[in-house]
Amino acid sequence: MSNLDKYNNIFQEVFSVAKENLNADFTILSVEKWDSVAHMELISKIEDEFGIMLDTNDIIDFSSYIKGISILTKYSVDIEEN
Amino acid sequence: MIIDNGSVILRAIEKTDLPFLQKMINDPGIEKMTVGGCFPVSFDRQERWFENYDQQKELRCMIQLKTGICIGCIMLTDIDWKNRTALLGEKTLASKEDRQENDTWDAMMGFLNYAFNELNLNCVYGTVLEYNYLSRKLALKCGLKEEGILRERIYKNGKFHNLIANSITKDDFIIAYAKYRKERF
Repeated sequence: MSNLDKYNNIFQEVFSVAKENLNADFTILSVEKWDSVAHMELISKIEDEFGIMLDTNDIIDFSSYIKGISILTKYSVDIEEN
Repeated sequence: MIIDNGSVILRAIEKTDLPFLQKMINDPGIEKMTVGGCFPVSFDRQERWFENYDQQKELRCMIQLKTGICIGCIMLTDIDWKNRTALLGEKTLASKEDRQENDTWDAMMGFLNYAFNELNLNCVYGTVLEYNYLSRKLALKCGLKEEGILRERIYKNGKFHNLIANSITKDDFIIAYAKYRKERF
């Protein structure tokens, strides 16, 4: 499974959304279900899936589907965007 | 009286809460997302704050889940009894395992209900850092309206940042609370 598939699966699982919704518009402000509890779940699953531990600043800055991809490159996790 | 709402109870701060409060105020993640002091706070200073804060001018509650775990605190400060306004603040520090769905929504709505329907306030307002999207979102979900941008009010991490000013009136709350009750219960 590619990193993109893993990344998408996590979003789909946490937010119960279809893959088609995962784009530049998928942000903390635009997604109703994206609250602090969902955020913690998202971060936890990403850390587990990719075997990394995100820095506090990156956890706070992880504000969208696209932003998350750029943050993960800092941890040598390359995700090919949709 | 305690405020019992949904998954939480909001209760008075006890001396036994002081270590948790000190941990919150010293947490770098919370400091990044909130306005206010950034000096390290000693336990001694935390105790002196507790002994001296004016419970007539401020209302501060611990947010305790019904599981017994404290996840944060919520407060009204600058209470203006003549103009019936107050400044709202809220902080949360808890692990993913301890959090429950809608816990902070329950806390905010229970607290606002108390503010408007027991304290007879008319307008509760606040400020939030522009980049604190989660707090902004919770405030919007609770019926607060974003009124404007306070430009470059806060200096953090080598940069000046904007604040978002928000508020909720009693009339706004009536609508938001009806929606909350319908969705939540």
